[in-house]
Amino acid sequence: MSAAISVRNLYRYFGALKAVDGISFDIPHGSVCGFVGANGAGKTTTMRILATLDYPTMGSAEICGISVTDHPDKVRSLIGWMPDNFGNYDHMTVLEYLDFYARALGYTGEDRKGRIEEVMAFADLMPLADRISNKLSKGMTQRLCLGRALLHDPQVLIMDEPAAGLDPRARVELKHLIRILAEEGKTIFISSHILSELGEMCDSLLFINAGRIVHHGDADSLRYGSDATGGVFYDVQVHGNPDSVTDWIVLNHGVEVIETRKQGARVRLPDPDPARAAEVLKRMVRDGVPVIEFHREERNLEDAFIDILGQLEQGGAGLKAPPDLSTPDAPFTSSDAAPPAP
Amino acid sequence: MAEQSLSPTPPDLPALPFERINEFPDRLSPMLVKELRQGMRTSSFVIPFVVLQAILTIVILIVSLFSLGGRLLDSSSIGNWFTGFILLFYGLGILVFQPLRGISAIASEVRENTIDLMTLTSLTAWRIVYGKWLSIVSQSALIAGAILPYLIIPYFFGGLQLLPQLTLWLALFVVSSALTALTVGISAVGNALVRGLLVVGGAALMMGYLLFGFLSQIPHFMEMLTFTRGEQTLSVIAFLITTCYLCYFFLELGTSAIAPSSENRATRKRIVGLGVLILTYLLLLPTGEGIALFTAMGITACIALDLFSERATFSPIVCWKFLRFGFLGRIAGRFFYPGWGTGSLFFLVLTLVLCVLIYLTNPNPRYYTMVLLGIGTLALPAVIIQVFARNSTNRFSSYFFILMVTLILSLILSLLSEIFSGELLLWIFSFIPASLLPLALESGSTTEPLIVLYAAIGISSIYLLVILATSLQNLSQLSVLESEAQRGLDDSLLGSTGAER
Repeated sequence: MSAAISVRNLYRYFGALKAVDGISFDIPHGSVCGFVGANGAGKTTTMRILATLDYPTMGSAEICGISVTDHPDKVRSLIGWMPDNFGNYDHMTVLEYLDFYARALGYTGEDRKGRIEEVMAFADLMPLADRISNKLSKGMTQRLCLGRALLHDPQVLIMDEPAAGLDPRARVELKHLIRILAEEGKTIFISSHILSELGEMCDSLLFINAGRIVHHGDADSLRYGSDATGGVFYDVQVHGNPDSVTDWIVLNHGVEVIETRKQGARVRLPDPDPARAAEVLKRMVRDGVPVIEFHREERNLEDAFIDILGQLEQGGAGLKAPPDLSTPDAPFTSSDAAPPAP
Repeated sequence: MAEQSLSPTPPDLPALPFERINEFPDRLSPMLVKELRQGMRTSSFVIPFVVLQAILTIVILIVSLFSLGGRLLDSSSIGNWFTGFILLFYGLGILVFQPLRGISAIASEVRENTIDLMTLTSLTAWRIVYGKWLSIVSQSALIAGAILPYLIIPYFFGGLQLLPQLTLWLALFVVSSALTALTVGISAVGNALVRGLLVVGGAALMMGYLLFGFLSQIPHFMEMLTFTRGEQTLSVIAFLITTCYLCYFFLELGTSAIAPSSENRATRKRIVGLGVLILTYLLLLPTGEGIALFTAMGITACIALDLFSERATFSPIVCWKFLRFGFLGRIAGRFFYPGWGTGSLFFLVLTLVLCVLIYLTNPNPRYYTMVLLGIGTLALPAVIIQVFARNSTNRFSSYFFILMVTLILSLILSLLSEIFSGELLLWIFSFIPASLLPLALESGSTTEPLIVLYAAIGISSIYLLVILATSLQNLSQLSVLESEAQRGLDDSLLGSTGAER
């Protein structure tokens, strides 16, 4: 079965500017994928191409197996698009706004009424039915936009910075709605600057920088990420004398003290394999080190993103090779493309 | 429990107004429904509508008082005066205020990013632009309908010419529709400067004409609309065709600006333009060569405005229809593919067609001169853009602005030469071909010296050559695009053959 979103060697140039520089990735059906990158990294351009609003310079992009360039009309019926920045209409109520788009999507009579009722109930827009659409708060506007995007019950939702400018409560509400949509089996491709939130709701994360994909994987692989040589960090806390950890490490090869702490130390294991960590813990306990806590260090996603960018600036030492796209079980796959032929 | 029973029950929420969404039938265009819902609530419609009604009611009262008194004027004069007054205010309403409402119609959708949201629905670019236009025209129709009863009132005073008055009322409405199409179309392609110029300059000119010229010309219009002479009917048909074409052209202009690059809107636009140009010229010939030529040049100017400002990038899919006709299709593509490159070649065709029309109907050198000076004037802004502002981000606005400047400059030069009785000034500025028009108009017969004609041929030829030379690069890229399209066409044919097997 084809992926919900499939991008191959996609390029988009604006004159000399390479907005998208040969990216490839697949997003399976029913998954939520976060798209992360700095301003100008190429997120919106990629999303606009997927939404059939822009045309690639080269390469292909497919939604549910249908080419966005060859059959934009068919693709449009499959996608719901939430842009990062848009205006609403003056002199038009929320109900009329949705009615306009429902009519434009071809709904008539009772079907139209039923569909509007459904999305208004889902996005909690019922109390706003008579409010003028361009006089809503940012959170309400985003709910309205989500309602509009869902009118034709699309299989894939493409959301460009939907949480930007929202207050905490509106963010929680939006996150809740996205979770429900994901549970309903919709594929969601969402960009945001707020990585922690993306980490909570996304099955996978896609990092883009200067038009190229620089990382792919799930949030956990980033949180518990390894350093440039594959080493991983653990926080070890002991009862009593904290030197007992460093003393033990001096006598044991393969474990390195990075930093002594009040109740123990931050240590580095050269191998990310959890079995190796279990072995170290077992030996420590056996040798009488009074370990009360032993856990792998967790980074926040922002730090992980900055680390990846830093590694890139140093020559891409930390970049992992992309997984094989043909792996059937891979929940999320991505690869950097070869540059185009001149 | 006691607390629960004491607590007030929440009031019932009012029923949701879902029935309201059915107030417009499904068969109406979604754009029209949207625009009517918005437009009917805007103060720019409500206030002029109410004020117009109030003014006309007050005027009726005053006129009635005069009429009852039976002094100062005879009743026929009162009737004529009242008709003129109604048509003046009607004209202000639908020829100035209503069209101006279209000036930001598409621009605001683009600015607010809502055009993308509409594009993702089943609405095509044409339906979006057409819906915008139709909504304003519908509201103009409301104003026209509300005015209609007042036109009958002169019956009680005398001097009523019902048919010509109603025809003039309708003609003004048709002109209003064309002006609305102009503002809606320009709102998609023009930058803020052009739109501002149109609002200030266009509205000022129209108001000036209505206040100081229109009233005195009403009897002339009435006479023309009695249809007593054969050529009058032909003129009215030509007027209707031209106005309908202008509506189509400006709406297409707006549509082309927001349509995806895979849509070819140029071919039909050019063919229709060429057809209307020939038809109106022939229809207006019995009325007079001058008016026929003037109208033809006006249509040519519209076509040129589009030809020289069309975006040159388009999807290879556009070539498919042409490639199916082989070599002939490729040749036709050079004239009908979208973009200013092919537009330059099509402009040559227009020039030839105009010359052939004159040759076949009235081969007077003066007409050749006028046409070639017009062609040169239309080519000059394109030359300036091609040579000095090739990377202009908004070719339409650049072209429009330069054309306006050259026309105003020509007008000033013409006035100066008339004041100082000097032709030299006009010859100095002959690189602006329109400045030689006064000299062309003076050369009344075939025996006049042909120097202006030679100058017109020389200047126009140079400009056309420059345009063609600078378009060559653009034209050469068409072959690459056609090769890409041919590959796509072959692939799709192979695919369909495979599927059939």
